[in-house]
Amino acid sequence: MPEQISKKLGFIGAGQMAEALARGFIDKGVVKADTVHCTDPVPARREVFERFGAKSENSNVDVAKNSEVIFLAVKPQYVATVLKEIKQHLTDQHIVVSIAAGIPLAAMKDSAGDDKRLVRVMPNTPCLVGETASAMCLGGKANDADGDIVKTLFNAVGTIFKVDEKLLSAVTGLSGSGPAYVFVMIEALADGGVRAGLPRDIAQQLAAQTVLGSAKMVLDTGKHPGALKDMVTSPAGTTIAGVHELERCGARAAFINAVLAATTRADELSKL
Amino acid sequence: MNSLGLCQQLLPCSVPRRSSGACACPVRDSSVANLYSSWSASLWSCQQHKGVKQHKRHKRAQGCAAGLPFREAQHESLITQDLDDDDEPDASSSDIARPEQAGLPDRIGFLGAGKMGEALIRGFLASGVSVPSNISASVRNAERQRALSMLGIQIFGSATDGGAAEIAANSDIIILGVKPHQMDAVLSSLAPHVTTNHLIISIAAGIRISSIENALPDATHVVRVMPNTPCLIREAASAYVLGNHATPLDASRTFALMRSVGVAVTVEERMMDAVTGLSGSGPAYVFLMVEALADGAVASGLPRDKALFLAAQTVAGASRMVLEGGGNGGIAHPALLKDHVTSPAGTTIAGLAELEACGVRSAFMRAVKAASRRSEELT
Repeated sequence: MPEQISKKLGFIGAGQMAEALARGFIDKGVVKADTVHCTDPVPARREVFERFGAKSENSNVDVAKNSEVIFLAVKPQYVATVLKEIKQHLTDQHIVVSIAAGIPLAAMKDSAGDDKRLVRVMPNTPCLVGETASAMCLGGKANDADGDIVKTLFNAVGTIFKVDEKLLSAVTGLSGSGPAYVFVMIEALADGGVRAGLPRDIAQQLAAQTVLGSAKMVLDTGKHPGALKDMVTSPAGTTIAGVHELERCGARAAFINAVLAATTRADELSKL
Repeated sequence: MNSLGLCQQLLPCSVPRRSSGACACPVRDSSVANLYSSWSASLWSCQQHKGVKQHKRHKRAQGCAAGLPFREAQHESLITQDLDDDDEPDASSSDIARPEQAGLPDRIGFLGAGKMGEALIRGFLASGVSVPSNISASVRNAERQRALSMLGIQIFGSATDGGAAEIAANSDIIILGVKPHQMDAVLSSLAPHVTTNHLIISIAAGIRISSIENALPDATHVVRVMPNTPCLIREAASAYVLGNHATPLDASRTFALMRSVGVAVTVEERMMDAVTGLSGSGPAYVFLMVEALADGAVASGLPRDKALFLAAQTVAGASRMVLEGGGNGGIAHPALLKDHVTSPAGTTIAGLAELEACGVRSAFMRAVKAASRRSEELT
């Protein structure tokens, strides 16, 4: 049972990601539902939160006043506005966690002031299924204890670790954008299965489960993926025949290029 | 409960399809089955019947407060009074099988238990679908005998040296876990001791059901299973085929066993080469992808260890989204998910553009096809 956080959580913005995080934190027992507050311009989104036991407020300021760890779950272009709006209600005890892509800690400091505890997290979409791969960095007056609180929260919906802020673009390029590469791979594997004679639904399920099981093997065994690949390629077998095709088609380079391109784009966006 | 609030006791119904493809469950209601539009309706439609019962049992035992992923009220009207008699075994027609979710009463014997066999034993034990006192293995190699006896199961000697007779006498389900080239000898040793009370499950790659049936007495119940490596961590993607004399009960028992170590689907034998090319060989393609993603992140400045971890976790998380991210927690179409995460002129679509430019989709299709073709050659 993960440890409980005794702090009240606030979500400014109650979109899909906010919902996934809040639900995950509550389901795993890290926080109690009635200590979670949210706000969103769309009433239906506030109702979603109320349905799983959280409280909704009518303004960003009310959320700030009623919470100790505040999640900024608004689109990147609104982060500065929101921070300026709640600034005077932020004490030195508040922890502000931004999950907005491309908004550096320096920009957050500009809007919120130098004396606030700021944390920047790059989560990814699979927090919706409790399997996020996230990275965080601390800014302003945030200390290690604050980092531990954020870590405890995010470990309830997957995994997280600390990086230097300058690496967040690379994290964006890999785990931020990575799920889409995996969706493409799964679709292509399923297409291959259909090409080889499987009905679509079976091909899709086998493809997705194969990718999940194999990724989990890398995580659980701690072995190098190259070593794992060696273990499953028997001489003149079916697997090495498949691997040969991937190599011939330069699949490795494709993935390297993809991560690099997304990282470059993340750098560009953070400079805008 | 998982993060979507779905009770984990809800497992797909094990009632196999009829040859027409339709489900044999007597309470199948197509309007409810349509809630699982992404799934083949015949596999999932009976989740309602089974799932509601399972969930009520779970609720009573564990106080589970999870919601059900379908309109319980609608389906409940289709189920008769016995829904509340959870402690009684369900009255079943001879056609319908209901394996105990808590565990199979069958004694399971392995003829040969290499990496895959051992992974299955460990998986069955870890999941609780079986217990050590119900499992035995006949292995030739002393080292393997030692390793397997640590699991608390019974060990017999070489199959061709009396082991087959012992396994047959002590098992209801016999799993053929020897390498394909040893199969003939093992089947010869097994044949005199097999009855129609046994279920023979073959996990040997490339060995057709007919060759097993021909080597064993008439009317022997045979099922062929193709698991994959992640059964080591109970995340296998397995497919199984029923032999000519396998019954719906055999199908249910096979499903229950393979479900305990991952996901299992039933297929026709002519699809087994394709299954080999996809889920059999697939793990290697994924290992390759994870390594390449990590390489890309290292190229972008991340240290290797963090890059590898994030890469693997990203692949695990994204694939779970496909498996669970559809309506009602079912399978989601990967292309729709891809659309959801590609914001205009964002980082993700920039990365995707590179994948497409390098023809990655074709690469994976070719990989599956090539492996499948090789499987045909080897079978």
